[in-house]
Amino acid sequence: MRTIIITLMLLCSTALWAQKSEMTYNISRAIEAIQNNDYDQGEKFARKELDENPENGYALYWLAVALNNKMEYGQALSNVSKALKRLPSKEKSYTACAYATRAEIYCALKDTARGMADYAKAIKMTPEDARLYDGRAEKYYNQGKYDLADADYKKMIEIDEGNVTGYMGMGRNAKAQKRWDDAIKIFDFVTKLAPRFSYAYSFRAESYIGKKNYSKAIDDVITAVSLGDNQVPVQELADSALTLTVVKLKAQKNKEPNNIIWTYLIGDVYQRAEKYAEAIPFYKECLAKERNAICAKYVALCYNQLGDNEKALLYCDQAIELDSTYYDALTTKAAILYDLGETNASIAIMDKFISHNTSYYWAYRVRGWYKSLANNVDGAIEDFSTAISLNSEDAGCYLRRACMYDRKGDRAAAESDYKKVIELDPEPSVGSGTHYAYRALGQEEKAIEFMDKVIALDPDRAGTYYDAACLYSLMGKQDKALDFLETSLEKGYCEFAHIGNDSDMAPIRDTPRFKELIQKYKAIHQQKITDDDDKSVAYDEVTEEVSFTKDGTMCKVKCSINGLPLHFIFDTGASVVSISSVEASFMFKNDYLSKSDIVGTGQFINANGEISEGAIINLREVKFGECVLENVKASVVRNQSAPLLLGQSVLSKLGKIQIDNEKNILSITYKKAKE
Amino acid sequence: MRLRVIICFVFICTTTSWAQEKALPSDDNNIVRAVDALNNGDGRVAFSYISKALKENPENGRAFYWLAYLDLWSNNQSGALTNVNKSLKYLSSKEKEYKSFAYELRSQIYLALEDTVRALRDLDKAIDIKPSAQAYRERANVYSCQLKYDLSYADYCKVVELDKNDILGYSGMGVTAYGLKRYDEAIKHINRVIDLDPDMHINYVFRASAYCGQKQYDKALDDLTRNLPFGDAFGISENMFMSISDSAFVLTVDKLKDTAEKEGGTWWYFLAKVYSKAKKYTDAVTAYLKLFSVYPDNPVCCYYIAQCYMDISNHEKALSYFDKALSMDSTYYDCLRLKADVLYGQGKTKEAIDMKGQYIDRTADPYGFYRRGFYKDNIRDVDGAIEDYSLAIAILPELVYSYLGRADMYKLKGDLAAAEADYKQVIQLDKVSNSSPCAHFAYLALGQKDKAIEYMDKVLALRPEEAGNYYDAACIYSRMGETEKSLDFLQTAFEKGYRKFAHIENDDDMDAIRDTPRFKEMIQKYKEILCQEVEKSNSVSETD
Repeated sequence: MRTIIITLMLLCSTALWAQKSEMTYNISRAIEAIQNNDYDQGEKFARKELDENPENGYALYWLAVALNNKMEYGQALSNVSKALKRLPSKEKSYTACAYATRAEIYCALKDTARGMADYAKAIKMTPEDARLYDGRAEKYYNQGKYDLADADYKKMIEIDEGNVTGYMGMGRNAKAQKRWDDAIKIFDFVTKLAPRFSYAYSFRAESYIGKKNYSKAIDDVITAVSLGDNQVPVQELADSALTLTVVKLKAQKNKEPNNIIWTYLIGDVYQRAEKYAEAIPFYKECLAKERNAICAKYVALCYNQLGDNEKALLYCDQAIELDSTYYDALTTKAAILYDLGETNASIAIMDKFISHNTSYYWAYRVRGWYKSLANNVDGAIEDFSTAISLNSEDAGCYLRRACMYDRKGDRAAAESDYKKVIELDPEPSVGSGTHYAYRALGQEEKAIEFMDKVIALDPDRAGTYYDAACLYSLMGKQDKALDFLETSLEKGYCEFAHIGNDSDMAPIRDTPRFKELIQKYKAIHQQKITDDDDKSVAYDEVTEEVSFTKDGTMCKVKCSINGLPLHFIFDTGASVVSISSVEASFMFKNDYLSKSDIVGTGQFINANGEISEGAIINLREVKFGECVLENVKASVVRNQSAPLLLGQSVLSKLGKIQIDNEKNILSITYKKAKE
Repeated sequence: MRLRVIICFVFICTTTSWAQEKALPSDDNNIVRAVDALNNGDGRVAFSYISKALKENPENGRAFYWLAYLDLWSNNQSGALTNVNKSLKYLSSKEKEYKSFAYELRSQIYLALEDTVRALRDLDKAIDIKPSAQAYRERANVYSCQLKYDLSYADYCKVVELDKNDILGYSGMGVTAYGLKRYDEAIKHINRVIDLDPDMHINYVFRASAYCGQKQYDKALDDLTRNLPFGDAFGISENMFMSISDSAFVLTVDKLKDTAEKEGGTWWYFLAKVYSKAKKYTDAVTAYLKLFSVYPDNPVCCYYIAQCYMDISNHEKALSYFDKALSMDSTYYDCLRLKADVLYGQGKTKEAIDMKGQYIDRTADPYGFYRRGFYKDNIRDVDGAIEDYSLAIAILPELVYSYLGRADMYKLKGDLAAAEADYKQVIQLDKVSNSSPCAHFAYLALGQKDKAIEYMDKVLALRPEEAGNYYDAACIYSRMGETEKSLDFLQTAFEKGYRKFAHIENDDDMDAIRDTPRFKEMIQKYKEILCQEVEKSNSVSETD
């Protein structure tokens, strides 16, 4: 389920790591590489072993695991089958894992029957290995065979009643069948079994949403987010309970004023509910507190949606300036430039994006669309075709390609694509384009019926009325087209550059009413755009050097935490920040920390003012040299030898880190806003 | 309620005591060092020794036991359960003591998972394999929480059989004897506890409960005022003072006054609470002011004083003390909530709405939404009221008054179907025993007059001293057109202390009787009385 399920191969590999019998150097290196997700290296070492010992069943097994993870299923299959023949019969665990791996491969190749047969064999060999049931149950779940999945999850619970996976699996099955109360009961239990397991809360939130108990759903989302989960059902809450969600998030923000995630979430919820003007101040607040490219990009996106593209560009450029590797900002920039009427510039930006993301189908689709609007028909067709080769299920790609084939005069190809659109997107939904396909195939009544249903799904959505205007324009029904255009403009449609480019508008573009509507609503739109004092921000690249002393293999750096002089240990191996309970308690008792700095759930301060292990503290300011880290979250750890352990991931928020072990200097290179 | 609190206290003491563990003589070095580290609170070091032990022997049942212990200590029930099961799998049948420990530990995990059935089963097994005072104590706790005092008593007896100086055993016997209403016996056992540990004040609090059971309130009060309680004993003592004052008000007040005058400090708090409960607000204010003079920087003091002034309808003083509390602690949001109510009481409804909005922004409290909806309701902001009532319902679907308020607003808007649905919901959710029942209004709105009267009568019979219920009755009869009856109830409401004149002015339920001479006379008379009451409360000295 989502990212909880670690691939069975890796789980197996963790267990098999303990096997010493045939552990050659190459196999050890192969296992190590695979455990670090370096499948190329894993493959390399496995093959090296096989060069020396072509009959080594273990090497064949690990090669299969590496290839499977690289999605090279054909080769993976042949190697795991060979492994099954070569592995010694006494090696039950290995053999079971090999069957399980082959089961995974068969399922990936959509040969479910063989896959399930292999799971059965694996389980027969080692019937007390819970992970095998987990792997099989996952497949049953995907097949909608919930009873069979439940049976496997029950077996997992029987084998180890302390493991959350079995319960979570059963809860997920109940949720999938809309047995909301059953699901909630199970997730209630998991929250008692593992109170800090965030997925229990996020899954329970989804179940409460199913029951329309939005208040409890929001409470669970807040808990899940506090525990670090970002896969929470925010869209559903934005769609169904916006006011309540914002009310509760604001109260949470007030409870934890130093935790920026709540501000960000409020912006996110408003944005998802398409309330862009309301979202902007929250994203800006995040940006002011943390120089974060993501926040800058979302401000840009919101301004773009509001049609204020000058400001959108300002913030988009800030996002790119803050993080040139944040390629998502490029797609936003392309959209903004298009809306500013600079189609060729959009295409150039998408070229750059695609050069860094060659397998992202959506990028080809978007670039193809810009090319179609710039009348580069062949270029557009090529891009849509690439998108389709990467994802053959997106009706939008076929629709746009069909229009290009029509423009080229290739009617047969166009018709084939229009039919594919109807096949892939037969039911009306918000954003559907199937009505265009019906019209293009001469089925106007069906087109109108479909369009009416799409409108009924969300009668306030401006974009849908614009689509209707295009449809009726293409059908030659001018008055109706203009009526729909007027409705869309009334409801806030403001993509005037697109209206200017859109060939669908050609039949009505020269009518007096069209010109009047555009003039009227452009003027209204201009007035609506707010007059913030947003200025363009530029950055300098700065390198700070901080000296450290050596403590064994660790770097010890003098710092101050909320003004208290201390030191921290820079631990490159650590991914989190931890503070000793002794220091935390001292800081609390001497007012370097306050109650509002204790983040998260639970009561962590005892009557003597001691802060217990498990608390999360917000360190408002960690200063060393000229560098300042703000609002650092630290876990309190009992009797840690160092006051504060800072991991690589936290320091790298400041910038690029380099350690000079000869001069004992830590350098941090980052962007600083110009004065 | 009191008994449950005491039981919980004994339970807490029992469970914290299991943290002081000892390794067995037969344990290897790694385990010994792990246990030492655990007793020093050093989880990481303990873990490292346990890991060493497991590396040497991956099927070391004892190591898995300590791993489970560490997990439970860290509130990781999941890991604890997995590891204790491994421990039980690998421990040999000869390792009886450890097996018993493991079942005991697993019972603690099941209790954390609220699975009492499995917890008891495991405690039974633990006792069966090797009876220990610890296991009996834990099982006794579970029985006590299930109110099975006889079973619990029997187990505590076993505890003291195994260890004649086990204080918790005698405490448990005392508490369970109390639960069985065997007060003499309870006192006997608690006296034993006091002999063993004369300085532990909570024991005197337990004894006071038993004296209350015998209605020996003077002895109970002597025990309660022996020492200033702290920690859990504070809350228990407070409840007991309040409870004793119901039966022996003068005795309680005299004892507390005496103690407060001798010892000062927090004793004034208990006296104030007792006065408040008896609705002697001016006396309560006097006591709170004494407390405040001892703790001038305490915002909670200011809050309580403000509440007292609110109850007297002394709005100015109430506001000033809420503001004082907020100046000491700007996150004391409850002050915002009550300030809003005071403003409403002054007739400043718009300001009340703003103030409640500030409270809601910070807390998302459903009662906050309900009250703001109520204010909006009373200034005819119908859509605003519906929005707030709806949010209150969305957050807390059991909040009955929200449905009533919203139903009235739907009715005003002409949405009779929605109104009817909400009135029916009120009837379904409301109880006569609620602190402010309201189903009588719903019945009336649905045209069920007889049921409305019947419900109203039940409410009045259950709480004959509650002024607000008489006011409700006045509203009901006013709406039914029974003017004299309505005025009679209004009179009673005033006599019993109802003083919400701003609300009376807003309330359209009063429209049918508002222009009667009797109504006008009553309003004038009781407004004057209110002035006198406020004057009296103003005369209470605020300086020591």
